[in-house]
Amino acid sequence: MYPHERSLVKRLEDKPFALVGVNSDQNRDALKEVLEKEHITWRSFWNGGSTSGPISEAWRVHGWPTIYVLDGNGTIRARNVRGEAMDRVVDGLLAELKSKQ
Amino acid sequence: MGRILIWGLVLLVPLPAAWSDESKKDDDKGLKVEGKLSPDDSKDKVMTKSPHQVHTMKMKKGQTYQIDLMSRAFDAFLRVEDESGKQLAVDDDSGGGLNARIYFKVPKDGTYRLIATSVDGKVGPYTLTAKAASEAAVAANTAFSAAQNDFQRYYLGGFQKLNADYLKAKTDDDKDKVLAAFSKEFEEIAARFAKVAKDYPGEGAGKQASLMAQQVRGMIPALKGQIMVSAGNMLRDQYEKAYEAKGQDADELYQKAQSYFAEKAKKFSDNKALATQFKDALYLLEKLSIGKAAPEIEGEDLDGKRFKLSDYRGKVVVLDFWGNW
Repeated sequence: MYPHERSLVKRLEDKPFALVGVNSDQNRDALKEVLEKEHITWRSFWNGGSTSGPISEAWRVHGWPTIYVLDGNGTIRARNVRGEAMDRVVDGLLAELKSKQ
Repeated sequence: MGRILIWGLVLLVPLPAAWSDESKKDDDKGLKVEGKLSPDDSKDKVMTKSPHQVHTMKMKKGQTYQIDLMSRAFDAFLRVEDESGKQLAVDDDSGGGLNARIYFKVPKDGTYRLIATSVDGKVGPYTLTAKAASEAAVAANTAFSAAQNDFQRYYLGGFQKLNADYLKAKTDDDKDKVLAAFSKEFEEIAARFAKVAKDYPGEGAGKQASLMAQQVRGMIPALKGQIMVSAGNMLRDQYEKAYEAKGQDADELYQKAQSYFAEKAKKFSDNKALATQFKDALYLLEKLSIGKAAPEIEGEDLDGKRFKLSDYRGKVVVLDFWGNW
């Protein structure tokens, strides 16, 4: 998971793209070590320390991980795409965003 | 992390094996060893990266022994060999959790080698016990394991097929037939567990079977709900495809999915669990399907600083619900 996330962030660092997490770990302090070790540089919302926190409840998330992809307008455009499929969707939306400018 | 569904109803992990009935009176003295695997012990010939220890025991032909290897320090792996070192039985996790258990029927009088080792190469304290298993305990365990295997096989394989059949069924009648077939299958499995419980009320396996019978029966409504929801989600998928392809039929397909969930929620309004499943599915369609504005998120980041999802407007966003567990 992390390698793909890392490479995506790196590849698109000059593009209007953001990877935003919602994290369900219990312990924020223990997590800091993981962030350093895995070079997780993107921002995450704190889900209150569990998989049934307020954000995941609002989004009715029961399976972990769950992915949503949003376009430049904040519209949901894809769900649970991973790896190459995620790359394709993101690149497509970036092209769409560019063509609208 | 893999992909893990946090629904109490989805059984991904096989339940632990039946526990032995400690109150049984043994004719045999049996064996009990509190040992400690150490890195200095020589390596096992099967688990070649793990240290091992050998304990010998005289056994009589025809007797069945329940042999348990338990450890909190390592993933127990248990082997039984004859005097010449020929392996006769092996086990990894039948003792519940990471503990090993073998029911060993002794082929002939002699000395047998009970080998304690680990799957993961780790070391530490362990307990090895071997005691004469009553015929009832062995029979109960065999019956329970058979029912358990069938349940897992059906739940993992047959259920998927059933779900697919439901999605393919054209008429409401056909759909109801599929659900009825599913209920019948599960009821039969529950009945098998109930029979083990009835036949062996004093055995650990009997008690476990009683719990399983209840659990399997309890799963029926929720799984039925899951099948019905999946049919609605198939309509949702069709709508989402049409939306992305900018098809003319997108709105119509959306209505179809919406009506499906709304009707089902109404039909099962007196069944709280089912009604909730449909209401949730309807919510996912109306608020979180492709084409909808993402709900705002306002919260703290991992350093405690506040931020919003809408801060990223103007960018393509991958929103990743994750955990390092």
